[in-house]
Formats: sequence, C-alpha cells, structure tokens
Amino acid sequence: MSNKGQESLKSETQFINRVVAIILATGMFSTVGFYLVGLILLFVKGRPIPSLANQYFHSFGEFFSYLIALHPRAFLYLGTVSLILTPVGRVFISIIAFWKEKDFKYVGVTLIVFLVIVASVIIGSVFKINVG
Amino acid sequence: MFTTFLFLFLVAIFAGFFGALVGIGGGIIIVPALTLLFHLPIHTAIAASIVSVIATSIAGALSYVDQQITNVRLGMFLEISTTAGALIGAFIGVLMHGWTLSLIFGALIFYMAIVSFRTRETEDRLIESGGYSAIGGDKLSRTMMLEGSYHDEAVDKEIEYHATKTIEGSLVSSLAGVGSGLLGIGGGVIKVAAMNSMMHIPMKAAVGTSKFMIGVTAATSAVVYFLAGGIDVYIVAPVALGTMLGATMGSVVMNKLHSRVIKTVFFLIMIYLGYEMIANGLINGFNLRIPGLL
Repeated sequence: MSNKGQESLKSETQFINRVVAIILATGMFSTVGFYLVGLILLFVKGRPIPSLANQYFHSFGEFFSYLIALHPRAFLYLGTVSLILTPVGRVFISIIAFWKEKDFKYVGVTLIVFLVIVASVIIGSVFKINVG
Repeated sequence: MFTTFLFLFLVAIFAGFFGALVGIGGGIIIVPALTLLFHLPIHTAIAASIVSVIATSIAGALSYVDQQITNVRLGMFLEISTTAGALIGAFIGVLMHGWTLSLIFGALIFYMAIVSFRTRETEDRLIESGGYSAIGGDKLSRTMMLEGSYHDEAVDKEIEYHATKTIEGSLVSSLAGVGSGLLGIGGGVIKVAAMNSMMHIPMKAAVGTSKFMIGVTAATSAVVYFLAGGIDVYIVAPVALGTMLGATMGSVVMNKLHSRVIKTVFFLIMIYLGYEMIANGLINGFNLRIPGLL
C-alpha cells in the first residue's frame, strides 16, 4: 500500500474512533442519569417493587403515563433501554461513518452485525424466559 | 428496601473493582453473588449481569478508544462472530433450566480461576524484539485490512501488527459470544486469547479491542433477555451503577497494587464461588446435597 493510502487509512480510523467515543459517552451519561433519577424517586416516593412478571410496560402509552407521573420504574426502564441501545447505536453510527469514508467492505461488515442484532430482537420477542 | 439496594450496589462495586484488577469483567462474580447472596433465580442474575457487562464495557471502551489502542476495524470484523454466538447463547440460555446453568457456570469459574493465575512472559519478549511486525497477515486479514499499530508506553515504541489465522480467531471469538449469551459474562478472556495467541495481535491492542467488542456482544444477548421478559430493572440499576463505579476505581489503582496478592485472593474467591455454584446446581437439579466449604 502506498504512503498516501496508509495516511488516509489512519485519518479515517481516527475519525471513526472519534464518532464512536461520542456515542459511548452520551449513552453512558444518559444511563447513569436515568438510573440515579429512578433510584432517588424510588427512595423518596417509596413505591413498592413489583415482581419481575409485573414490571414490563405493555404499551408506549402506559410507559409515558408512568414517565409523566415521575414513577421510578419508568426511569429505571429508560436507563436500562438506553444502556442496551448504546452499543447498538454505536454499530448503527459506524455504518454511516464507514459509508462516508467510502469503506464499503466495512459498511458490509457492520451491516451484518446490525442484522444479527435485529435477529436477536425477533428471537427475544418470540421466546419467553423459563425462570426456575 | 434501602439496605437491599445498598448491598446490591456494594457487591457490584466489589465485583467491578476486582474484575478490573485481574483484567476480567465483573460478570463472573456478579452471577454467583446474585444467586448465592441474594437468592435470585439464575436467569435473573445472568440477565442483570449481561446488562452490567455493557455498562462496564462502555466505561472501559471509552478510555481505550481515546488512547488509540483499539483496532476498530478488527473489532467490527470479529463482532460478526461474537454477536452471532451471543444470539445462539442467549437463545439456549433463555430456554435452559436454571440448575444446568448453575453447573456450567461453576465449571467455568474453576477454569477462569486457573487461567487468570497464569502469567505471561512471552508477550514482553515479542514486544521487545519487534516480533509482532515480523508476522505477516493471512489472505482474509489483508482483504479486510486487519492490521494496525499503537504506541507502547512501556517500551516507548510504535508496535505494528497484522492479524493472521483470521478464520480460526473468528471461530474462537464466537465461543466468547456464546458465553456472553448463555452465562451473562463478557467473554473478554476468550476474545483476548483468540486475538493474542491465535491471531498474533499484541496483548494491549487485543485487550483494547476486546473491551470495544464486549458492549455490542453483550447488547445482543441483553436484547434477547430484555424482550424475553428476563430483566429486572430494580436489580439491574444498582448492579450496573455499582460495577461501572467499581471498574473505574479498579482501573485507577490497578498499577499501584501487587498483582501477586490480588491474584491469590481472586483465586480463592473464585474457587469458593465455583464450588457453591456447583453445589447449588446439584441441589436444584438432582436434590443432591454436597458439604459446604465454609
């Protein structure tokens, strides 16, 4: 590979690293924020803790009504979702970053990873956990 | 209620702290701690652990990406294998009986205790002699541009490397994914071994890249556990916050402590937890009681 090619590979790598770092930092701070708010609300309001089976929200409407009422569960939920979505967001942004750098081989690689995550959404929705 | 949360938080800090000191994630301590101390079903413990693995990996990956040690391209490439493994592992884990998971986990802890006790001397020799840059990449590695370099502060040198045995490395990495999905661990040790001993990636670059990958791998498993109804947010919140804090503290003091003492303490804790997990699995699976250690 020519010197020029290696230079562009290096600046490309730095650009992607930069974007990835921003995503991770945003995800981490929002997660910590949601969790802290949720736990503080829990201790201040002293709401009873539901069993695992009754913790899940059944619709967005139900979730929003809990969120507006400042129910701790809505914030703990939000923290967990933002935590799980941070790496997913990182993968998604990387697809765009590789695309902008015209590195189509890695657009393909990242797309495959993204598709595996989509498959995990399907598997998780179809099968229910066998606790015990 | 407050004391339970505080206790969960403290145990998680301990797990994250110790995990960072010996260079593994906290998952291997979190799962037995939640099942043995808090008597949670192992599925709930695994689900909580996998989410806290994401939390620590984000905090860890952040510092590594900043240091430019992480090979993002290599990480992305191996993530195909690790996420596929995670999906399969989580799928099996969700459907498997709790006692089977306890037994597998106990065996894994014993294995990890022994692995983490070994030291690495060949690494320093390879770095000093420039052995890493001498190894050329294989065909797949060249096609996928799986090469890189980083500045090694210990020897003040730019270390260049090319990945080799790419297919073998990918296959072993997928096992790390299965471990993540099935048992709620990060699987970093397996990934680092695949990259370092098999693909000839220098240790530091392998560790940085592994931390980068753990988040996406764990997220794939976490999505399955979350949608399958296995994540208890009241447990996950204090545990994730605790491991994140503990891991950050651990990485700060890591270089100031004597690793021999840490490794010995860690070894003893792991042996104890491994024994108890197996005892737990035997009681629940076969109603067989073995004598307690303490």
